Amino acid sequence: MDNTVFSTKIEPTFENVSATRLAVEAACKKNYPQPAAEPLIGELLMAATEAMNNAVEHSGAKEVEIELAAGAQGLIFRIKAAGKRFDPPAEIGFPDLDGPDGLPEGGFGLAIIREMVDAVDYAYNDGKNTITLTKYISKS
Amino acid sequence: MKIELTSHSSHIVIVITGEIDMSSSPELRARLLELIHKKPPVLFVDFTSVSYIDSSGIATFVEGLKGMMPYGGRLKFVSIPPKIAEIFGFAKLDKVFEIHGSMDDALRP
Repeated sequence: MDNTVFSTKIEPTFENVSATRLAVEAACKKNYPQPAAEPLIGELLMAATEAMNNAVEHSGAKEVEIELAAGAQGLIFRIKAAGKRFDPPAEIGFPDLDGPDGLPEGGFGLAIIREMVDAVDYAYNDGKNTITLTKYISKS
Repeated sequence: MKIELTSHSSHIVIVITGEIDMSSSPELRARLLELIHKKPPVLFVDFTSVSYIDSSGIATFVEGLKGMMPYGGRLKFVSIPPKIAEIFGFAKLDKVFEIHGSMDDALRP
């Protein structure tokens, strides 16, 4: 059973993303205080930040719901925002740096999300996109 | 985020402190492009005190590098903390940017 350890609703601004990242970090560290968990929490925060940035930039929602749960396997970060359905590309990878158009200036966000957590789930229900990020962390 | 400009052996060093994210990267972009407009042969970025970078920060530096490449300018990163180096490695950006462990290393031609 997963326990919600942090939840909030924010107005979608990048300043609020920065503040929420710090609050989520504090909640993560409270549940996994051992030093070995720190780099894993850092990776979850990178993915969570990119997901929040995307919601602010693309959803057009008036508010964004954020929840962090701690379960037996680790941490689960969930973000929900109203907007058009988002279907992620079938293949998500870092941009091709040797492509014909030269160095890409975008396309890093989704790849960071994919790379930094153990599972990513995209869902669309009742006009809201929900992205769930799971990061496995041992309690010991 | 705080940006300071210092010089080392007559080169410009951009010293960044704090988090490079969506709310701070526009300021970094403006400062970086302003410097690049003057076409310095080399720009150093000191990452020692950078605690976080997101995709907007990465995009800012890619844009900066693309602004320097046409005239042969070089963008050199110095003292990147491990967790930031990890992202650069995943994205293979460590093959694109010149990354050095110290200013002394970075100053070698």
